Amino acid sequence: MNDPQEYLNRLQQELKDAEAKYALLLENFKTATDSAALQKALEAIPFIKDAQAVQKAMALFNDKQEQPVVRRLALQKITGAIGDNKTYVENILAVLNDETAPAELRKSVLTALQTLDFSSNAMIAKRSDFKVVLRKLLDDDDPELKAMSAEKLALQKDEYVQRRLLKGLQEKDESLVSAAKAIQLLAYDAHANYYPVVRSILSNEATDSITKVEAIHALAFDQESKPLLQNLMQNKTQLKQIRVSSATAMELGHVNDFIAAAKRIVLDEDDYDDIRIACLSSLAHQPDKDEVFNDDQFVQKISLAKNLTGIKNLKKMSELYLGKARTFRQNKK
Amino acid sequence: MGSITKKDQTANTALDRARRIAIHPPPDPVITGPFAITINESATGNAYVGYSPCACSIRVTNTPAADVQVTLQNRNTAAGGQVQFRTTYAGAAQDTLSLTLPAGGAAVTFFIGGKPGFASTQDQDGGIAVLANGTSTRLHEKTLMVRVRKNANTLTAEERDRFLYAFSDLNRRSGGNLYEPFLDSHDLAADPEIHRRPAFLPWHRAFILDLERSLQEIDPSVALPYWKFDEPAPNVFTPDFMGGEPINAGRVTINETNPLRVWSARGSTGIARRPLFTTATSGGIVMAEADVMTLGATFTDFRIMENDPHGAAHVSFEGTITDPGTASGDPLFFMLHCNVDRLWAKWQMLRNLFTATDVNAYAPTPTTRPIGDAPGDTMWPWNGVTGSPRPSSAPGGAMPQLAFTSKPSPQVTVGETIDYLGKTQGNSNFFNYDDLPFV
Repeated sequence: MNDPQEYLNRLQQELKDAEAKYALLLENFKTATDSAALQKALEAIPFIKDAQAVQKAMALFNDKQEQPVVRRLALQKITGAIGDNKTYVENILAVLNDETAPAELRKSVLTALQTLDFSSNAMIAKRSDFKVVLRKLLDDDDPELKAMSAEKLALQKDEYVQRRLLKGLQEKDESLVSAAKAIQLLAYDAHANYYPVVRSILSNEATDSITKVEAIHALAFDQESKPLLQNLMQNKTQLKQIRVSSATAMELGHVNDFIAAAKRIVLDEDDYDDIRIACLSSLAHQPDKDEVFNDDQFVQKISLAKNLTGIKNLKKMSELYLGKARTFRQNKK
Repeated sequence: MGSITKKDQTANTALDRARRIAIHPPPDPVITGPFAITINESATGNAYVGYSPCACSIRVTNTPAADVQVTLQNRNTAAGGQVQFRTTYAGAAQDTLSLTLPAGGAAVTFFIGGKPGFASTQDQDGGIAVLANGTSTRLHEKTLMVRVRKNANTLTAEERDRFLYAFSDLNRRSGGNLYEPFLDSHDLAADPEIHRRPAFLPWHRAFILDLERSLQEIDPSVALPYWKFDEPAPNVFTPDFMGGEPINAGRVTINETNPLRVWSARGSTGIARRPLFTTATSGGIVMAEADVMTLGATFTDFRIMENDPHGAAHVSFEGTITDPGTASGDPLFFMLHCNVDRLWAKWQMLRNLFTATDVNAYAPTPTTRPIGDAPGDTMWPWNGVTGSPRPSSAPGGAMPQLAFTSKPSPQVTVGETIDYLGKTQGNSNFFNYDDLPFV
């Protein structure tokens, strides 16, 4: 890029070459007839927006006799054009709703509809129909389609899926997704009434650690969960993941209690390095607070620890903390 | 969505903060002579420039017996942070510039812009050196930073950390109240105002600039990096940056030292995101950059990129980034949109399309909305206008302003975003991409 004009000239030549190549790829698609040739042409072409070619691709997508891979590729290459046409959106929505259609094709349709949700006015007009199909997919035989639908609905704070997810946490036979995933999806909506159920899952010793981590995150802002989170954060018999997640949740939901507990952990040389580093990092990144940066004893101990420790990240976070404490104190003067 | 930028005031605090992040050897002492250099109208404080030319001046501050002949060159020609000089805004860029400074102290104007390929990696690592004409004797120096948006995958660890620290600060400050407008402006209620319309690209250009300027209020050495989503980004999807491979229900793994570990958006904690591609070896499931450039020669042709690669990049994952109403709750959102904007900027550069009233550069049709697409229309939420057809509330405030320019204006218009590069003097939005020179 030493010579910007030369650089621009080169890019412009590359663009001309790419445009010429595209014209050939489009022609190949337009003239392809059998499935093998169509597949090859569709794999090579990056997008289709030429009206005649879009029609051909849409016909391929709608053709139930055509190879699923060809139908899927056709869909992928004209997703943008589908977004300009309400009938086309209805067509692909119908395939998503068709339990007899190949599962891979339906998943591609669902992805295409999610993409169109960002970009298509025709899709917006069909959003309510899309939601109806998504709810129906919660009972589909394909677990991936079920999970994709549950997530899309949960992101939109759909109360129906929230009820189904909550029920699944209470009755295993009713579960749509894993318990961990169900908790994560419920937590997309801070107003979903899930705290008591998730609290009881977290309190259950038999709950697996992956589910516990999700429960901890979901309960960060629940006042009644504070003692539970505080205990998990400080309990040296808990797994690192559980303790670090609890520290994160405490910091977000109960910052003053977190600061007090974090200081104790940081100074406890018998505690595990990971949790000490996480706590010190959190303290160092706190917005300016007297109790964090103006505590003489704590500052002195960190200063000492910085010089003595051989743990790289503990040293790094100590330096960060001490630098911020120094500036904080200077600004106070 | 922030207050008016108090550039000089924040610069020194933030520089101090940036230096705490990594311990550097002390910078070379700056030589101070009887000269005053202004960059972007300011003689004091830290200076930040991009690739687009910015106005400078130099004058003698003592009273020499005769005019002084000097040569301007880069303070350090062996490192990043280099600039090129111009005598006029659109003049030829050159590595040195000889000037005659009047003995009476009148200022001589010139222009500088970052030298393509030589952006800064640290705050104030570049600068201008004033040499006695025809000699290598340095009479005076002025430091600066060539601050441009870079490929996130190529950032140094220190650049990455400065960005993360500023972003995390923005997310945490005032109990999250500073970040809240960036969620509210991109939620389901805002969706019809900002998507599926000609102003999609201008609106998002302003949106990420708003975030970038808010980050710069915390640390002025930060520029928003872009996630080049059609290429592997093994350095981006790591526990030290945007989060590594999820090991559980789709929550990215974040290291203990990464401040994004304590990320929160709308009461949700952590970052739920699972890539549907192999981050170490593949890009997202999107159209390649070279193909995006072939979408067409007019804005109407090009703007279908809102679907692919834009929408396609969003749905290359599971998680909050996949839905228009929740996407900006994931910090990756802004790096994704930075690349969307860069693609538009590259398309503009390839076809020299920077005039807002040129229908090839920007066409407000077809539109489904009565206002908000024409070049002269102000954009929500920066204009503060609420009520149909605009959304019912306008989160945040006006576009944060730089001290030396009003571009884009507080109530930014669609048209002001088109010549972001400042092809016409006075238009620059004062951001640049590392691979898109001013040409």
